[in-house]
Amino acid sequence: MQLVLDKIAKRFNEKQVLQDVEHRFEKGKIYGLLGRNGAGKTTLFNCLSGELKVDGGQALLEADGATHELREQDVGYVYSLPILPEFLTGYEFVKFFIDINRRQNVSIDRTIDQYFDMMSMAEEERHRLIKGYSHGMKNKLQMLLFLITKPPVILLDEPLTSFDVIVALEMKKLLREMKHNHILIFSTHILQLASDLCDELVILNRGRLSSVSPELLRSPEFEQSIVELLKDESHAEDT
Amino acid sequence: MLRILSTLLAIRTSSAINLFFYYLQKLPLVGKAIKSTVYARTDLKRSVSALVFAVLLLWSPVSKLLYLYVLVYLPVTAVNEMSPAHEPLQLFIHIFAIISFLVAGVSSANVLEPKREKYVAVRLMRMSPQLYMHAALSYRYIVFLVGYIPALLVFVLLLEGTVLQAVMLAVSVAAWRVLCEYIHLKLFEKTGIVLVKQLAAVWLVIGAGYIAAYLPLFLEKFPTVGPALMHWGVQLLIAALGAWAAVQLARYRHFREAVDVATKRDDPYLNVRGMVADAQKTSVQAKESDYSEEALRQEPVNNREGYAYLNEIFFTRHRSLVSRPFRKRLAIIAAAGIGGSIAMFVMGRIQPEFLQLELKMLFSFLPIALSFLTVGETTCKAMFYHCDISLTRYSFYRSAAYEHFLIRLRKMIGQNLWIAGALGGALTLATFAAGGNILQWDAVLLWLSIAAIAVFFTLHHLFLYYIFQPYSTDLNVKNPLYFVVAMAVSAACGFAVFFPIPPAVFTSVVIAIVIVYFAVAIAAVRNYAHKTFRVK
Repeated sequence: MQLVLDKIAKRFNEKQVLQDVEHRFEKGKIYGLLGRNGAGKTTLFNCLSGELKVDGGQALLEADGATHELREQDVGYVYSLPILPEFLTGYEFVKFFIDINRRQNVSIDRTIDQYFDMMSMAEEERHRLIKGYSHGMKNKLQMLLFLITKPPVILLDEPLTSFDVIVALEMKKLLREMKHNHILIFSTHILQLASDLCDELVILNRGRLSSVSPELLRSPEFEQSIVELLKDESHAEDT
Repeated sequence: MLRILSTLLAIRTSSAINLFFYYLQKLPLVGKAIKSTVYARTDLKRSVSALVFAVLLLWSPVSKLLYLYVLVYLPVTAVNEMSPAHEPLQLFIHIFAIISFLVAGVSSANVLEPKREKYVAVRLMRMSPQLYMHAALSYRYIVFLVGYIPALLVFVLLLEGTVLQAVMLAVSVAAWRVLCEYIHLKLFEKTGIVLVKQLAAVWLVIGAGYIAAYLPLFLEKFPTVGPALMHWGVQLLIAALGAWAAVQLARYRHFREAVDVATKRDDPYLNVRGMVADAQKTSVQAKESDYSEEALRQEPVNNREGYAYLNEIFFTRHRSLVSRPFRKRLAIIAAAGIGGSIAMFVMGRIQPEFLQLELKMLFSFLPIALSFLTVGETTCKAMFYHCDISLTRYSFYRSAAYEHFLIRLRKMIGQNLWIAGALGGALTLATFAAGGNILQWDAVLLWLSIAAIAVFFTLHHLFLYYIFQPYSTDLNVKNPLYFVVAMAVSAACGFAVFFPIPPAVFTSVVIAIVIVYFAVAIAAVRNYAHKTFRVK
C-alpha cells in the first residue's frame, strides 16, 4: 500500500504554501515530516485529511494493484491539540464511535474495555469526562479511534511534544506497532525524535517536499546536515 | 506638543487606512483583488492619508449634525406639530443641554477613558503622559467646538434663533465638557474612582437624563432648562469655568496615574473583539453542575446508539443551556397569558368599548412574536460550542450531517411546539376574557398557524446552522450569506405586521411556506451539509 502525492498545490491569498508537492509514502514505515515554523506542514496534513481543498494535484492511495483517490475516511488525523467532545466520558465517546462504525460494517474485533486496555488507560479514567483529561490522555484516546477504524493513512501533527517521558515512550511503542498496518506520517520540530522514531525523513521547504537519504538519518552528522539544509532557505512566514 | 499631535494624527490616519483596507478585503469580488501587500504600500498610504484626515475632520460636524437632527431636532418638531407645549427653540436647548451637558458630562471623559491609542502612545511608544493628554485634549476640544458651531447654527437658525445664540451654545458645551474632564480627573485623584467605569451610576444618569430630556415634550408643566442656558450670564459663567479648567488641566502634573489606570493591559475595553468573543462564549457557558460527577451518576440510562446516543447525552448534560431558555419562555407566555386575561376581563367590565379583541387581529403578529419566542439560535450556539466545534473536525461526523440534523430537528421541534401550544392557549384565553368569540373556525386557523410558524423557525435556525455554519471558534458570525437570509426572514416577519391578510389566506400561505421550506431544507442538508457543516 502506498500513498502517492501528485503535484499538490495550495495557496493562501498571495502566498503559495504548497507547490507541486510530490512523494510516495509506503506502508510499514514511519515518516517524519520536518519543516520550519510556517513551512506548511499542517496545511499539507489538512489537505490530505480533507479539511482544506487543494488548489491543484491529487493524493492517491495504491493498494492491492488498485488505485483510488484518497478519501476523507482513509485518513486518521491526530491533531497537535487534541480535539474531542469534552462533554462525553472517554468510554461514552468510544461507544459512540464503535456504534457508528459498526453500522458501516467496520469489523469491530474487541470490546470497548479491551481497546482501553490496549492503550493502557485505567478503569477509572475511562469513565471520567474528557474535559478533565490531560493532553497525553486525549492523544491516546484519539489514537484509540484508529485502532478501531484502522485507516490506511495516519497523520500525526506534532505528537509527543508535550508528553512526559513515560507517555512518550508508550506512544513510540504504539506507533512502532501500528506502522505494520498503516502509512504513518508525523510532523515534528524535534530532530532527535525524528531520527529515533522515523524510518524515513521528508523535508518541507519553500512549498516542496524532498527526501533525506536513510544513510544520513543514521549518521552522526544528521542534525548538523538538517540544520544546514533548513538554514539555507529563507525563513518561511507563518501561514 | 505639536510634534506629539502630529504623531497622534499619523497613528489615527494610519489605523483608519489599515481598517479601510481590511474591510475592503472582506468584500465579495472586490476583496479578492486587494492583496495583503497593500498594508506595506507606504506611498499609497501617504497619498490617501490627507484624504483620510479630511474625512476624520469632517466626521466631527457630520456626526454632530446627525446627532442633533435625530435625537433633538426631530422629536422637537414632531411633537410641536401635534401639541405646542413649549417654545421649540427652548425645547431644543433643553434636550441638547440634558444629553450633551449632563449625560455626556458624566458618561464620557477622555482623561480616564481606556483607548487603544492611549495605550499605543504612552505604553508602547513611551510618550510622556502629560504631553499626550495635553495634545489629545486640545485636539479633541478644538475639533469639538469647531464641529458644533456649524451643526448648532443649522438647527438654531431653523428654529428661529440667532447666530450668536448658536455660537454661545457651542462655546458653552465645549467649555462645560472641559470642566467635566477636570472634575473627573480631580475625583479620581481624591478618591480613586473612575466615574466612566461605574456602569451602574453611568446608566442611571443616562436613563434619568433621557427621561428628563424628553418629558417636556409631553408635559406642558414640566420645566425646561432652555431659558436658563440661554441667559448670557450663565453662558459667560460656563465659559469662564471652562477656561479655568483648561488652565488647570494644562498645569496638571499627575497625568501618569490617570493614564495608567486607563491603559491596563487586561482592560477589556482596549480589546473590544476579545471582549465580544468572551461575552459570546459566556452566553453558551455550560453550568459546572451539569457536568458534575453527581449529575453524571443521576443521569437516566441511555439505551440509544450512535448519533441518537450522542445527542441524548448532549441535551442531558447541557440542560441549563438548552432547557432553561425553553422553560423561561413557557413561564413568560403563561404569566403574560394569565395576567393579560385578568386585565382583559377587568377592563372589559369597566370600559367595554375599548375591548374588541378578535382572533383574526392576532394573525399578522404571529411571525414576529414567534421569531422571538421560539428557541433555536441559543441551542445551535450551544451545540456548536460544546459539541460540533470538535466533532466537525472528523470526516465521519461531517458525512453523517443529515442524520444528526434530523435527530436535532425532532428534539427542537418538540420544544417549540410546546411553546406554540402555550402561546395558542394564552391568546385564546385572553381573547375569551376580552369577550371575543373563540368557538369559531378562526381559532383552529390560529392554532394551526402558530404550530406551523414554530416549525418554520425551528427548521430555519437549524437549516442555517447546517448549511451556512456561521460560527468561528470565537463564536463570531462570519458568513455574510447567513446574515442575508436571516435578515430576509426578519424583514418578512415585519412585513406581515403591516400587511394583514385574512386568517384563512394567512394560514394557507404559512403552511405552504413551511412545506416548501421543509422540502428545500431536507434536500439541501442531505446533499450539501457534509461539505458545509464544518468549522470556518
